[in-house]
Amino acid sequence: MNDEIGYREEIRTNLPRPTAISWGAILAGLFATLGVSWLLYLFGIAVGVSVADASDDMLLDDGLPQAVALWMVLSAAAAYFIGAALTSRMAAVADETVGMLHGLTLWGVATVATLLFAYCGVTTLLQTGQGFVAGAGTAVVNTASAGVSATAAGAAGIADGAQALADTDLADSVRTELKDRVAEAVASVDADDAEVSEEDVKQAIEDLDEESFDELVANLTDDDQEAAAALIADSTSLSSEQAEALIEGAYNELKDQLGVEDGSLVDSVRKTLIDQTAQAVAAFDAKGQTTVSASEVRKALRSLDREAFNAITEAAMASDWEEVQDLIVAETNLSDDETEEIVRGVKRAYRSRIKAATTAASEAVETTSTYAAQILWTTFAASAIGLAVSILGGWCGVEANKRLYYEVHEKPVTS
Amino acid sequence: MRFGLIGTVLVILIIAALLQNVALGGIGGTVLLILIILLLLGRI
Repeated sequence: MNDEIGYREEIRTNLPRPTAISWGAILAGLFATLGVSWLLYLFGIAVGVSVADASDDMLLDDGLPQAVALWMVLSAAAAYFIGAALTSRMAAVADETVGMLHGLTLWGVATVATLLFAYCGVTTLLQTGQGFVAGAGTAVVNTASAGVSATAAGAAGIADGAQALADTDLADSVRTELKDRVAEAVASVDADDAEVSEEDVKQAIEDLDEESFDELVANLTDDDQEAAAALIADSTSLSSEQAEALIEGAYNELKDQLGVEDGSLVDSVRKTLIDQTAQAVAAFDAKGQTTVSASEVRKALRSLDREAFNAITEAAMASDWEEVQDLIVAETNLSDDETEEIVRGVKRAYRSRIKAATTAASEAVETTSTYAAQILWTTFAASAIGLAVSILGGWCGVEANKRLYYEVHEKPVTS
Repeated sequence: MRFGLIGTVLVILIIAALLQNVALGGIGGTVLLILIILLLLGRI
C-alpha cells in the first residue's frame, strides 16, 4: 500500500466570481460622453463661452474668462457623469465597487480617445483645449516676431513716414483748397450757360475716387498743372477752362500756404521734411554735448537726395552704423567727427525705440503664456473633476440597477 | 412622466431653433440633460 499522500489546494470563498468587465457597456458610455460633450461645446459656442471664442478674441490681457473656465468644467462633469452612469447600467452590475471601476475605466478610455482625436486635429471634444494651448504658443511666437518687425519697419519708416505725413497734409490742403476755389471758379461762369451748380461741383470733387485724387495730387506736386486740369475736367462735370482756372488758383494758393517763393511743391515738402528731421537729430544729443547744430545738420541733409536718404535709413534699420556713417560722409560735406556725432544721436534714438518695442513684445509673450497656463490649469481641473464624476456616475448606475433589477437581502453571519 | 418631459424638451428646442433664441435653447438643453440623467438613474 502506498502511504504517500498527495496534496492539492482547495480555496473556499464566499465571494462571488468577479464580474467580468463589460467592454460593450464602456463603448456605449464612451460614445455617450463624446456626444454629450460635443453638444455642450456647440451650446458654448452659441453663447460665447467656449474656449474657441476666448482664444479667437485674442484679448488675452484679461486672461481666461471665468465663464469659459466654468463652462469647461461643467460640460466635462455632465458628459462624464452621463457616460459613466450609462456604462454601469448597461454592464448590469450589482456591486457598487465594480460599478465605480467601470466608471473609472470609462474615464480612462474617454480621455485616451480625446487625446487621439486631438492628435488627429479634432480638439473640440471634451473642451480639453489642447489645440488652443498650441494656438496660444503660436501666438506667443507671432507676437514676438511681429513686435520685432514692427520695430524694424518703424525705424525704416521714419523717412518714409514723415514723407507720407507730409503727403497727407498736402492732400488735405489740396482738397480743401479745390473746394474753396470752386465758388470763385463758378462765379466766373456766365450765369446763362450755367449747367452745373456750385453744390454739384463741390460734390463732384468730393466724389473723386482715391485713385483719381492721388493722381491729381501727384500731378500737382510734379508741377504738371495741365494734367491735373485734364483730370479734373474728365472726372467732374466742369469744362476744361473751368478746370484750368481752378487748378491755377489752387496751385498758387498752396504755394503761398507752404511759403514757397520759387521752386516746386516737391521742394517745399522736402524742405519741411528736412527741417523736421534736422531738429529731431539735433535734439537727440540732449545732454548738451551737441557739437553739431541743427542748421549744420539741415544743410547736410539738404544735400542728400531721396535715394541717399533712404539708403541711410535702411542701413540704420539693419543697425549697420558704420555703413550709415560712411554714407553720410560720402553724400554730404560733413566731417568724420560731425558725422559720428549725428550717428551717435540717431543710434540713441533708435535704441530707445527698439527697447520700447522689445518691452511691448515681452509683455505680450507673458500675457500669452499666462493665458496658456490658465487654459492648461482649467483643462486639468476639468479632467480631474471628470474622473471624480465618472466614479460617482458608476455608483449611481449601480444603485439604479439594484433598485430596479435586484432584490437585496441581508443575511446574518454566524461567527 | 417621461413622455411629458421628452415632449417638453422637443417643443422648447424646436421653438428655440425657429426663433434662434439662445436662452430658450439653453433651457431646453438643461431640461434634456436632466431628462437623460433621470433616465439613467431609473427615476423615469
